[in-house]
Order: sequence, then C-alpha cells, then structure tokens
Amino acid sequence: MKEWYYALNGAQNGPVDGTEIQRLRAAGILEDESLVWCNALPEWTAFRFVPKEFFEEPAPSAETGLETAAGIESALPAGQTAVDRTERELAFEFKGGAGEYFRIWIVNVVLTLLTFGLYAAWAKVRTRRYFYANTLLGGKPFDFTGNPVAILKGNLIFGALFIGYNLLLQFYPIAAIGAFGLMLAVFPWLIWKALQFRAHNTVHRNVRMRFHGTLGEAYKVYLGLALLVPFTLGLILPYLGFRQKRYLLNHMAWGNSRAEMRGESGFFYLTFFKALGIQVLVFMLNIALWIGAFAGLKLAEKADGNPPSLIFALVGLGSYLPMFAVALYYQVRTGNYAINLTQWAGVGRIRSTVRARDLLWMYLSNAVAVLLSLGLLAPWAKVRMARYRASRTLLVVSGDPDQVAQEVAREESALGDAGADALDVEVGF
Amino acid sequence: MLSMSKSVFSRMTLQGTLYARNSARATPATAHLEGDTLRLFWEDGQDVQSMARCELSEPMGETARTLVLPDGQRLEFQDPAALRALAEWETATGRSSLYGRVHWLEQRWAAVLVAGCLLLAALGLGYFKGVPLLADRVARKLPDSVSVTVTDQALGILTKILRLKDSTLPAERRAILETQFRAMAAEMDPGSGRNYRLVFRSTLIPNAVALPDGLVLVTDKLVEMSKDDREIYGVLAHEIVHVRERHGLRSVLQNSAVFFVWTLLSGDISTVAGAGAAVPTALAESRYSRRFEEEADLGAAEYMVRVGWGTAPLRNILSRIDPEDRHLGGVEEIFSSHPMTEKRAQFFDAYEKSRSGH
Ligand SMILES: [Zn+2]
Repeated sequence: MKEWYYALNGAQNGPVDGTEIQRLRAAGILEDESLVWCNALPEWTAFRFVPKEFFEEPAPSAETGLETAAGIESALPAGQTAVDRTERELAFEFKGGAGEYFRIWIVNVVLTLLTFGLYAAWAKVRTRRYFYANTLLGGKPFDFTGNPVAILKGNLIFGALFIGYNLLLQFYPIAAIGAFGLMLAVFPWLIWKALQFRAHNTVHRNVRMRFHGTLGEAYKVYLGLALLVPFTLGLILPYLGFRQKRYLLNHMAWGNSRAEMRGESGFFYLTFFKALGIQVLVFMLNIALWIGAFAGLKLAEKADGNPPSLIFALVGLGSYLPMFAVALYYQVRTGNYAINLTQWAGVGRIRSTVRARDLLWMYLSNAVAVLLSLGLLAPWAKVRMARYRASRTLLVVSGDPDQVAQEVAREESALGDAGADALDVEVGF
Repeated sequence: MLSMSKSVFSRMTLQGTLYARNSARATPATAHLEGDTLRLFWEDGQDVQSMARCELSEPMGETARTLVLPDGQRLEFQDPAALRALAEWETATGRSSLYGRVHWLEQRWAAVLVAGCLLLAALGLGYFKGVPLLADRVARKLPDSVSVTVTDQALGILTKILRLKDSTLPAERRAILETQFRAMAAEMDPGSGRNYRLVFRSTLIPNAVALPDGLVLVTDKLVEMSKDDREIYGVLAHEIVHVRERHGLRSVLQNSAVFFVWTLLSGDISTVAGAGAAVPTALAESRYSRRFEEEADLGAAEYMVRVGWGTAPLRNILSRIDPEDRHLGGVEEIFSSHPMTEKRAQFFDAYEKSRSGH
C-alpha cells in the first residue's frame, strides 16, 4: 500500500491512501497545483503531474504481507529483504558530569548577568547542546543545532510581552485582563512554533527530527478543548491530556521514520480516576491533620510559648507533598504509556520505565540540596536528573540497529526548513 | 601560540564517524588535517575539502564535536584523542570564536572561581546599591501623569478588595483632620506641588495607605481606634514620607528588577527544585519593603519630635492596631513587609531618647 502525503495550508498531512487523495481532489480540498508525495515519487509533486495509475492500489505482495505480520508499518521504500526482525534493545545513556557542567553553568550565569540578559540565548544554546551531545543512543550522540539569534528573538518577544503586560497590570488592570486573554490566544501558536524549532534542531546520526503537526490542531488541543474544562466539570481533563500527548508524539518524525501514537484515552481516564481516588483520601487525611494542628495551636496558646509557625509549616508540607506526589504519579504513568505506545516507522519504539517514586525522591532531594547550597548545586541536580531519565529509557529496534539506521534518511518535505527560522520560547512539555 | 608560523603545523590524524548526506548510516572514517586541508578516508571512498568551507561545532568539555562538510556529509568525533587533536589544530591555525573563548574560561577552575566571586560581588552591589539607586532615578524621571494613573487604578482595586464604603465619620471631624494633614504635608514636603489630600473610607480593618500622587486613604476604624488625634497625625506623617520619597513607584520598580534578575538566574533552578525556586525573590522583596517602612517611621518620628508631641502617640496606636504581632518572631519576620510592631516601638522609643539627649 502506498502512503500518500499532501500539503494543505502550509502543513503536511497524511499518510492517507491514493483513493483518499483522489477524493480530496474531487472535493476541491486539493487543487491541481497542490503538492503531494508518496514514496514512489522522487520528490513533492503538483497533483496534476502525478500519473493517475499512481493512485491505484497494487495487489498486495507477499513481502508487504510479511512486514505487517511482523507488526511493522514501514514508510521506507519497499523492496528490502526483511530478513532479521528480532527485537534488540538500544540503550540511552547520559555521560555528562556535574563538575564539567557546573563550570559551563556558572560561566553562562556570569555572562548573562554581565550582558543584562542578552547572552541568555547563547547560554541556552550551549546548555542544550551540552545535554543533547552527552545523551547517547546506541553510543551515538544527539546534537542541537539551534541558532541563538532565533532564541534571542523569542526572548525579546516574550520579554516585551511580559513588560507590557505588567505595565498594563499596574496602570490599567481591566485592560490587562483583555491582554491576558490575548496572550492565551497566542499560546498554542507559540507551542507550535517551539515544537517545530526543537524538532528541527535535533539531529541524530546526520538525520534531523521534524514536527509536522498543524497549527489548527495545536489550537484545538491547547485552547479549544481546554476551554471546555469548566463546562465538563473537569471530566475532559484526561482526554485533553491524551490529545496533547498524541499531538506531540504523533507528528514527530526522525527523517522518514514517522512516529505514530497508538494509545487510547481509556488509559488516561483509568489513571486519572485512580489518582483522583488517592487524592480524595489524602484530602480527608489533610482535614484531620488541620483539625489536629488547630487543637495543638490552642494548647500552645494557653501555654503561651511556642511559635505556631513551625506547626503550620509542617502541616502545610504534609498536605502539599502527597498532592504533588499524586500529580506526579499521573504525569509519569500517562507519559510512559504515551511514549511506549508510539511506533517509529521502520525503526522501533522507545520504552520509558521512569518511576514516579524515583522522581519524587529526586525532586525533593534536589530542592533541599539546591536551596541549602544557595543554587550552587543546581547543575548537579540537572545532570542527576538527565542521567536518571536516560538510564530508564531504551529504544527497542526491530532488527539489526545498523541495518535499520541505513534505511533512515532525511525526508524531503514540501515545507522546506520551516522550523529553521522559527522562534523558540520556553514552554513546559 | 599566535607567533607560531603557519608552516610548522604538524599533521593531525583523527578517528571519527562519517555519515553521508541526510543518511543515518554510520561509517568509521579517518581524517587528516593539515593547515586548511582536510583529507577524509573511509571504507569505500575518500574526499578532500577546505576546512574554511566546513562547519566545525564549538568545543565544550569532553563532549562530542561535529564537522559538517559543504556537501552535507557529517563527521562526528567522540574519541578524546580526536578532541585533543582538534583543539591543537584550532590553536595552531589561530581559529577563535565566541564559544571558543567561553570554553577557555570553562576549562579553568580558577577562572570559574574568580567569575563566581565577581558574580556574587556584582549581585550584592546591585541588590544593595544599584537597584535602589536606579529605581530612585527612574521614579524621579517618570511624569506625574503616571502617578495619577497608578493612584486612580490602585484606589479602584483597593475599593474592591477591602470592600471600601463611604465614610460614616462626621464631616466636621474629617475637615479638622484634613486641614491638619494639609498643613503637615506643606511642612514636610514643601515646594513639591503634589496634590496632597485625605480620603476617608469605611471598612473592617484599621489602616492607612499612601498612593503615589499624594492621596492618603484612611479607614474610619483607624480614626475610631485612636484615643488622641496626635496618634492619627503620627500615622499620617508616616504616609506623607511614603509619598514624598516615591516609595510606591520605587518598590514596583525594585521588585521588577529583582524579578528580572531572578528570571535570568533561576532557569535551571526551577526545573530541578520546583516551587522552592520562588523563595529567594520573596526574601529579597520583603527586605526592600522593610527599608521603606523604616524610612517612613524615621520621618514620622522626626516630625513628631520636632513639633513636640514625642513618639508616644505612634507607639500607642501601633500596639493597639497589632497587639498579636508582639509574640511573633523568627521565620515570619524574614518574609514580612513591615518590621515587627515591637521592633518599631523600640525604634520610636530609642529615637526619642537620642533626641532628648541633645
Ligand atoms: Zn508604611
């Protein structure tokens, strides 16, 4: 079966089959000049130049049948003799060191402050390059090729928005509410741009990654569905999480190896309600804790001595921590699920076994270490986190890794290097 | 190193991994570097390129470096020997770049240490001297219309948050207080041309607030709690100092500066330490705020002693407004925006004694 891709409104869509392409043309969604591509074409071609018989489906061959049987939907040119499809594990590894990164970090901080923030873009590129280049997959490093000027552009726009917003808030608070709404409306566009920038600037083995999600879907999953949260009493939250994860993963590609997320939202709901159950339990325990604390406070008041602040600090920590833990549990479970059910065509799948309890312990110990060291241990904490994540991530390759890599090549795209001049902003994923 | 003539380059041999254009297929390759010439050998081919046309990634610790050839081939060097050879080649050919110099710093613990100390000194100087000075300058430069707008908006917000209603105090009582207030303002801030005025509102808490353009808001509760009008005049003197010294605008500017610097510093901290990263800004901002309060207290004490009322009225109304504050200490004080009541009372007491001694 040929997999067809088509360009629409500046975005790449597909894969679909040939019949669907012809239907889209008949419906007027595609025009004669619209660019389409399948792996039998050397490059993206206007619809009218594609011979009609290209859209017809050939009779299924024994070979493609074999591939499907092995569970591999390959976007690679057919014709390879798929001999060895045994699964092998390729390790991720982080080999950066805390001492080495500490020196990079402190030089970055000093230069950023000396230049009143202008160097921040260069510092970010250097930090990211350090973490990418020290992350190895099967012994081969990643590379970050982002241009500091693009990041500077993002920083300046963000800075201007932030200052403008705060000035409004000081002088015209009512107008600031409108401006906040406007910023909310721009948010999906920023995420979309940043995703393109990140993916485009990630290189592994001389092949770039690419993000081909559409702007429309970004608006749908980051704004449209999010606006429904209050009307559905929050019941849409797991679905929202599912759609956002699917948007991130389903439109990633490493060269011609496209990712496809096959998970279902059911798992998100299951985990959500489990987490919610624990949360309710925690909440009831909290109430008991607070009642106890107030009783203790009354006693302390009678004794007229101990400062109550310590009791409140402990009770606050006691109620905040379990909530943080449950939220982390939900994030980690659904994150692993989404990553593990994503198939990278012709390559394999990533297996993440990150555990919530490990992360909780690391966040807590990192926070204590960073606060007590007045921030000096932040580089150590960051390296520690990267090492942990890498140690719990694998790539399961179907076949001999070197053979598989040989088939991966850059996919020429009608979009060109759209990501190259995108701006980058810091948004949490 | 720069004195080394171009003819004495030794020939470097580096082991790397070669990728064809747009291909993930890795091939072991050997590179010979001689001056600007790169000779490349791999299992079934060879190539000669000018290094000037290749893109060599910047050095960074022991991290892999890449060389992108003009035709899109890519060479990756991970081997420490190859990284050393590349560094030597760069020194010999006198190639330098921004990140190259940054790398020079990063390699030296001593340089890092010096940079760290400079950073601490710069931060300290900026926090204690630079930011307050800058905020003061900027606040003086801002046109009056800014103060007026801020005051309008702030009054609107206060009205909503504190549920302010019209004052129920008798008109003649308000007139007496306002006349005295105007006289005090004329004396404490002569020739500024500010539109000092007193506004009364009714709400549950005893409070007085100074807004930047000279409007001072007093709640009925404060007036009712006072046993002597001099207590109110003490509080008003404190608020007049806030207006005269532009504390409102200055604190907005100072806190913005703290926030800006903290954003620059904390990128990495917030990703590994979560919400704990916000603690230092709260600390830094509360210190600024306490400084302003102390300045206002000093100005009020000066005024009260000068007109012969002494600081007793100030101490009395403070202890009546905030009796609970006396027991607190420790953690809360570090974060609190006002100095603790007891400390303020002690300050007023000490000030009066030092004055009467003269
Ligand atoms: Zn004050």
